[in-house]
Amino acid sequence: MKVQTTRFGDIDVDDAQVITLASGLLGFEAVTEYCLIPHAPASPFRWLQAVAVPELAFVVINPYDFFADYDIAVPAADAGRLGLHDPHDVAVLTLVTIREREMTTNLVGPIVVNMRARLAAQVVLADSPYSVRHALVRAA
Amino acid sequence: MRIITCKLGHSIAIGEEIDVTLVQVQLSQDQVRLGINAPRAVGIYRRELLQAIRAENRRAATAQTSPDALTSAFLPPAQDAE
Repeated sequence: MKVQTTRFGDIDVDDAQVITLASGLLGFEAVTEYCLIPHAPASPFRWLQAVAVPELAFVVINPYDFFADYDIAVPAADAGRLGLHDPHDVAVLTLVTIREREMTTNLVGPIVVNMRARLAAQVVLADSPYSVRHALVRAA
Repeated sequence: MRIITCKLGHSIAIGEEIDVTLVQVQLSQDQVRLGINAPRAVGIYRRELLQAIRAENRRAATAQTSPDALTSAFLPPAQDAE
């Protein structure tokens, strides 16, 4: 399918690559279909681009690239809804916020993806030690 | 908002499937402990936590980040030391 984006122009996305967030992201509940766009070769960043909203895209990372000991317990209800059975199918993404030279990532509301089924949900980690604004890189 | 007075150990039923029990009072000056029984599919979260995540999602989306800005904002640790 053709996906219109404000940042990347019109791009071609294989229908099978579309990721469905049935409940959307908190605050963006109506936007349920996204695709992942690499930022640059070898970059740890990717863009989670809304398929139907050209200007809506989030910078995402694999949190384990930055925080090797990041530890999340996916609530049973979410795991059930996403059909998570095989750990090999699971990917975790966290949203990155960039303001001026300050880069943070939200470790309390990770996006858990069943890569095989292309289903995802923003999971809320209650009582976690993490922050919605965990410093990613502090520029000099 | 409906406000109900509740005794310690008593419960409030919300619909057929959700019970909220007052487990402990005077945990500290401004805290009580609640027990909640609900179907597994019902998400139970502190409202303030949901609001914090919602606000951060909006912040992330409205950061006006362009691909070029992302490239220049990310300074690998090696460059930080310069």
